[in-house]
Amino acid sequence: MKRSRYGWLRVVGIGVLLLWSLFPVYWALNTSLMTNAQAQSSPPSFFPTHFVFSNYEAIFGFGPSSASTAGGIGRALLNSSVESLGATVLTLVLATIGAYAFARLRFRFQGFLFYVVIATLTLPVYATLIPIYTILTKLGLVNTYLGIILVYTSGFLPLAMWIMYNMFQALPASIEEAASIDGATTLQIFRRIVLPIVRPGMAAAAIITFLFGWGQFIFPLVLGSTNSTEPLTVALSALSGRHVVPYTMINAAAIVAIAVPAVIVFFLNRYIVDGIVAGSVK
Amino acid sequence: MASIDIKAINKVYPNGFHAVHDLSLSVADGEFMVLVGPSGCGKTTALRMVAGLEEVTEGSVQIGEKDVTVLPARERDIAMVFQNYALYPHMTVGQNIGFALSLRGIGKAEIDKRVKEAADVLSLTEWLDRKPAQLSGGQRQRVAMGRAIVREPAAFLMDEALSNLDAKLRVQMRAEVSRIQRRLGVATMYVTHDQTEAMTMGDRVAVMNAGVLQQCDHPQVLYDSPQNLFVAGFMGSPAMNLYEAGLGEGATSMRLGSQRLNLPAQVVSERPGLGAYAGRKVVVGFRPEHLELARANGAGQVLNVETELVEALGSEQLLHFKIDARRIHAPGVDEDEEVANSTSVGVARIEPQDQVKVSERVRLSVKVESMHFFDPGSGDAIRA
Ligand SMILES: Nc1ncnc2c1ncn2[C@@H]1O[C@H](COP(=O)(O)OP(=O)(O)OP(=O)(O)O)[C@@H](O)[C@H]1O
Ligand SMILES: [Mg+2]
Repeated sequence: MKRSRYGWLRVVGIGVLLLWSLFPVYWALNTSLMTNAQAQSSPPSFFPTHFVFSNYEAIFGFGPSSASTAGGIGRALLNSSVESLGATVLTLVLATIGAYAFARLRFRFQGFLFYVVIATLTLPVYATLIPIYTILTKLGLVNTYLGIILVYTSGFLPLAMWIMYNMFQALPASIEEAASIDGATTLQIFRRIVLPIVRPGMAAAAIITFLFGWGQFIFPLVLGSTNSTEPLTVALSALSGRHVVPYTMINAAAIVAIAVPAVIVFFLNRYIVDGIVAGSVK
Repeated sequence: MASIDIKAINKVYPNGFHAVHDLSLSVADGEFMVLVGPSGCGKTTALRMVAGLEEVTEGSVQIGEKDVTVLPARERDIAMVFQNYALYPHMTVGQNIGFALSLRGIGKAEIDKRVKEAADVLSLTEWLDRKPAQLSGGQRQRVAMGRAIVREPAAFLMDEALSNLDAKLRVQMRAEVSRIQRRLGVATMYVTHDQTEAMTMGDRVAVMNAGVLQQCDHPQVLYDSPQNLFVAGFMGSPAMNLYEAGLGEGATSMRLGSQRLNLPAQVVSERPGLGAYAGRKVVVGFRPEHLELARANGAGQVLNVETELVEALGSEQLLHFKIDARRIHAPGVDEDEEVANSTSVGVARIEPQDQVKVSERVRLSVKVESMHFFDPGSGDAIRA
C-alpha cells in the first residue's frame, strides 16, 4: 500500500506549501491589528495581543489617524472593482464569442489567426507598456476607467479565449446539431444549449481574469495618474510617505486587497470543478 | 407524416472527397428504410444531407411535398437519433425530451403531458428528473428516442442508433425501435453497418458501397437475389461462399477447383444469361444453408471437402471446410490475406445432430438450383 506508507509525506508537503503561501498573509493580518509601536517591537509578536481596528478605520478615512491617509482607500477599492469587473465582463463576452467562432466556424486563415491570438500570451507585457500609453494618450483615454478596462481586456483575452476554445472543442458538435434538428435557431442553440454547458469554463475564465485585473500594478500606475482611477494596488504603495512608512496601515490595506479575491475564489471555485459535460454523449 | 424522396444526391466534401454518388432513394410514408454498408461508405453523409446537417452538393431532397434541399435542419420537421445520443447534459431527461416542444412555444401543461406519454412508451417515467450523466447507456438511448418521438415529426433519421449498446440490449432495442416506428407510422431512415440489424428491422434495405447504392429492396429479396457480388457477400452471416468456377461448354457443367458439378437444365433456363458464359470463368456463390452433409445413398450434386472447424450453435452447426477452389472476396467486404490461395475455406450450416470430426474428408451435397452466378469482371449477377 504505497498510499498509506507515504501518506505522511503528502501531509508534510501540503503543510509546507500552505505555510509557505499563507504565512505572509497571516503576518499581514497580524500586523494590521497592531499599533505601530507594537508592530515595531523586538522581538516581534506572533499574535496580536489586543486587537486594534484603528488601522482599518484609518485606511477608510475614519478615526483619529485618518488625516494621514487623505480620504482613505475607499475610492481605490471602488476603482479596483470597476476596472477588474469591467475587464472581466468585456473579456468574457469577447472570449466566448471569439472562441466559439474559432471552434465552430470555418474561415480562411482560421488556424493561423488562432495561433496568432494565442501567441500574444508569450509577449512580455512590459514591451507593450509604452506603445499602449501612446495609443491611449492619442485616444484621450489615459486616466479613465474605459482606457484601463480596454488595456486589461487586450491583455487577458488570449488566455480566456484559450480556456473557452477548449470548452467548445470538448463539446460534441452533435449536441448542437441535435438542437438545430429540435428546431432551435443559432441564437437559441447558443443561449439554451451551448452557454449553460460551458458555464464552468466561463466561471474559470472569469475568475482568472478578475484576479489578474485585481493584481495589476504597473499598467494602472502608468495609465492612471490620479485618485480617480488608481486601484488598490497603486494606492497601497502610495501609503508609504517619504519619511514614515505606516506598516500597520499598509498591512490593513493589503488584507482588504486580498479579501475580495479570496471571497470570490471561495464561493465560485465549485464552478470550475463542476464536471457538467460528463455523460452527455455515449 | 410524409415520405422522403432523395433524388440523385451527391456529396463532395471541401477536401474534394466524393463521398456519395448519385444516390436516389424513396422512403414511403410509414416505411422503415435501412441504409447499410461497410464503414466509410457514405451512409452517415447521406443521412446528414437528408437531415440538413450537411450541404447537398448536387441533387435534391424532398420530404412530403416540400423540397427541403436548401432548408436548414430546424425547418425540415425531422427528428434524428445520433450514434452518441447527443443528449443535452445540463437538462433533465424530461427537459431533454420536451426541448423541441418548448421551442415551439407549446404550453407547459401540454409539454408535460406529451413528455409523459413518450416516457411511458419508452419506460423512462421514473428517470424523468435525472440528468443524462446519471443514466445507463440503454436509458440514454431511450431518451434519445424519446426526444425524437415526442415531436411527431414528418420523418425519423437514425444513425447507428443502437451500436453503442451491448449485444443483448441491442437485440432487445431492435424490436423496441421497430415496434415504436410501426406504431407511429413515420417514414424512417435507419443507418447501420450491421447487416443483421438491416435484415431484421428494415421494410426495405438499401445497400451502399463506396458512396454508391448497390441495391435497394426487401431484405429477403436482397438475400435471395443479390444483384451483385458486393450485396451477395455483404448480406448474410455467415457470408455466402463465393468461388471462381469454369463453366463447361453448353453450360451443362461447372468446374470448381478440381471438382465438377453438373448444372441441371433448369439452372440455365432460369438464368438465360448464363449461356453466354459457356466455356468462360464465372463467380459462383452458395449460401451456407444450401450445403448439407451428403447422405450415403443420396443422389444430387456433391462436393468433396476437408473439415477444418465445427462450431456448435445449438440449433445448428457451422462447418468450416477447405476446398481446392479459388475463393472470391466481394469488393469492399472483409479482405483476408488468403485470397490467392488455391485451397480456401467455406462454411456450411449442418444439422445439430450431424457427427463431424475435424480434418476429415466429407461430402457435401449442394443445392445447385439455389446457386448464384456473377460476372467475374463487373461482379454483376448473371440472370437474364
Ligand atoms: N468532413 C469530411 N471531410 C472529408 N471527408 C469526409 C468528411 N466526413 C466524412 N468524410 C469521408 O466520407 C466518407 C463517408 O463517410 P461517412 O461518415 O458517411 O461513412 P459511414 O458510411 O457513415 O461510415 P461509418 O459506418 O464508419 O459511420 C468516408 O470515407 C469519410 O472519410
Ligand atoms: Mg457513420
